[in-house]
Amino acid sequence: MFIRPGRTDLRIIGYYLSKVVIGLAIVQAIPAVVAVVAGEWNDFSALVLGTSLCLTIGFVGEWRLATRQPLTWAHGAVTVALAWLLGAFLLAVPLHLSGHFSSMLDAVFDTMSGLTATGLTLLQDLDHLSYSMNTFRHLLHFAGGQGIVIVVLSLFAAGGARIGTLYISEGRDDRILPNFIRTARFIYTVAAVYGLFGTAALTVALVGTGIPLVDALHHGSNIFFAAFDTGGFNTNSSSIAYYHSAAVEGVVSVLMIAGTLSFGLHYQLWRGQRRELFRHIETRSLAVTLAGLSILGMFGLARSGAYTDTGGLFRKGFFTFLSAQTNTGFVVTSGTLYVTDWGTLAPAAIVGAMGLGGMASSTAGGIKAIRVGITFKALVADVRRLLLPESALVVATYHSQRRRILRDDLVRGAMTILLLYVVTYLLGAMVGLFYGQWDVTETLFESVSAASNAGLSVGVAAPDMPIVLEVVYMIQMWLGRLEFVAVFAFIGYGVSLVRGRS
Amino acid sequence: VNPASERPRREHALAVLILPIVMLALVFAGVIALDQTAPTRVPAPEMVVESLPAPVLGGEPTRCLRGTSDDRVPQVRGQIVEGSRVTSALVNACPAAFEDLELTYVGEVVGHFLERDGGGWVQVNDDDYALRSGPLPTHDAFAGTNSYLAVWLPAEFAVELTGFGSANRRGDVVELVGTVVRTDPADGGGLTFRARDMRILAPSVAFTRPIHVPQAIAAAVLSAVAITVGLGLRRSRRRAR
Repeated sequence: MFIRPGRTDLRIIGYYLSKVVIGLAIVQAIPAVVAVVAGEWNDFSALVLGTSLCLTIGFVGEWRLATRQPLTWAHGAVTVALAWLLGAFLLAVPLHLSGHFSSMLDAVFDTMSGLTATGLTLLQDLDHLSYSMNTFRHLLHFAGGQGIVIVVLSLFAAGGARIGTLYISEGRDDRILPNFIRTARFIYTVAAVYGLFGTAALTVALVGTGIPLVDALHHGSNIFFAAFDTGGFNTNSSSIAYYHSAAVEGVVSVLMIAGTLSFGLHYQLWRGQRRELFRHIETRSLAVTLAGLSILGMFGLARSGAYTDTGGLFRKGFFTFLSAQTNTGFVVTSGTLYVTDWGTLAPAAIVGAMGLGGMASSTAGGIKAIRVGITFKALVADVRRLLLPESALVVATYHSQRRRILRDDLVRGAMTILLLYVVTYLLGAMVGLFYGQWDVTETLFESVSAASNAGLSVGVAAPDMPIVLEVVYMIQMWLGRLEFVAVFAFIGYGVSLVRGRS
Repeated sequence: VNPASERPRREHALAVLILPIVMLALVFAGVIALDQTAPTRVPAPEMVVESLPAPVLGGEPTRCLRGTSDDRVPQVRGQIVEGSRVTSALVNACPAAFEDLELTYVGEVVGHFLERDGGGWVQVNDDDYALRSGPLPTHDAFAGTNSYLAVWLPAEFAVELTGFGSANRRGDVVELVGTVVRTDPADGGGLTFRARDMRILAPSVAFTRPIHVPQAIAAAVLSAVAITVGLGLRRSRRRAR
């Protein structure tokens, strides 16, 4: 039996949601400045309208719902799940008014994709999109990738303990510093440092390709947001292939890898503990799966004759596998080629890489390297138990900042989430198959891409896709980013509101 | 628990659930209504590129699925007439069939000219925005996403280009004669079109989007509301202190 939430519970959730909505206003205010500089007046009014709408809703909410009651775990989970949903809806307002979406739902799809750092897009005629709207789209990656709720509340709310529930609910389980606000600020410090150096390196590389300085700065900052936050949006329809530059691909690769490392690992590296990079279970798991799937995929590319020289295998093949495993979604070839020209093994390797994903507590999505590593270690331990005498005590350990014992509850948690991801991947693929327009390779590719927040596409996610499939992909992106628990808590809360007992 | 006393509470709970949904629906309805207050814009006739030769294979892409049992490369290649017009959709659907064939490609030059070894790379789009309706900011005829080929252009033709497609400009529409290279070593193995001849079919033109007055008014009014509510919130906080 559920206990029905009371007015106080709803008030707390509403109050913290209001703060998040005020934060969403900032995400729109920054590109509004770009619009003024570029003289894009319709986009300026659209962004001001979006900003004002969020401010009005946020201020009214804060005014009417102000409370000093502490957040419980349930409040935190529901607030986070709702914040991402509400964020996707409210931020769609300026995007829809940009005139590049044929429906409001398509704009919501793009904001959900942007916030969850997925990178799938239904935007039409991207190559004629304004500077300000491009900046706005990429800022969505930044806001979502860093964790919009935790960042907004660490700026606007006092009390680290209060927002700890939100931090965990937002798909982060790695408390880097004792205080959650300091943890959130560390996350932004890391992003700012990478942003400074990453944007500078990209701008230099882009100027080297022949792009004028101002455009290079615009492209560079946007690519940084999309690469470091493992998003995948781009300022032009051909993505990274547009630049025809090994230097740009190199810098982007470094940023994608940096984005897929957990912030806990970044903290260890900042403290000079470089050995952690080689000992951490996630680094090892990520390195093994990336190497394995890349070798498999490149073998597939060579076997099918798609690429036979090392240049093609690395610049097109390996870059794509790296983009898939880090869940970024940048492309260096048209997505159609994965189906028509890359044979069967390479696309399968891409699907595998997207599905597994990067590290936990990073901006990457997917099952996550920690769960893959823990599941593997648990399987090895089980096999050892079978092979050793019954009296033998098998203790499995793993390294994550320190040596830890592999406990049963940890294994169960990892396997449950792993299973939920696999089921979500398969369900999305089955919904796609229902329409009879695509084969299983394509629907599985797109479903895994959406649920793992990767963003690579073979063309299923397009403006003319069926509405139900569009909604399914949006739900998959939402579930994948929040790693299920917050969304399930939100659903449970909704049910208990209606059916629970006082 | 008395079921009768439960009912009003349940109704209250339902109201709490429905209220935000109604609010969002109203916001969306307002935004859509606002969007519709803009005058309907149809594609300008001068944006249409007239009398283009029909694309090869009737313009219908045949997916080759190379490396599988359903590989149709030889079939498709057998139907291609050299020199005929190709589209990016056709090439992407079966790149191996077009490999090393000399063909014609028509499209809008967008973005930048990226100079390399005696020439440079340009992105040439051949979607509806490039050839049939013009850039989306000039009309409301949605026609999907962009489709393109990466084109290598000799420097002698690059100097003839008058403008590139961007947020406020339609780029030159060019007719290119050249070769499809499935894995171009100069592009790290990318699928490219190496042009050896170019003709400008329609020169680049700048465009402006008329200011959407109702949207500007709505933004101004809502800004005033937000500022008023914000000031009210500040005052109430001061009083509470």
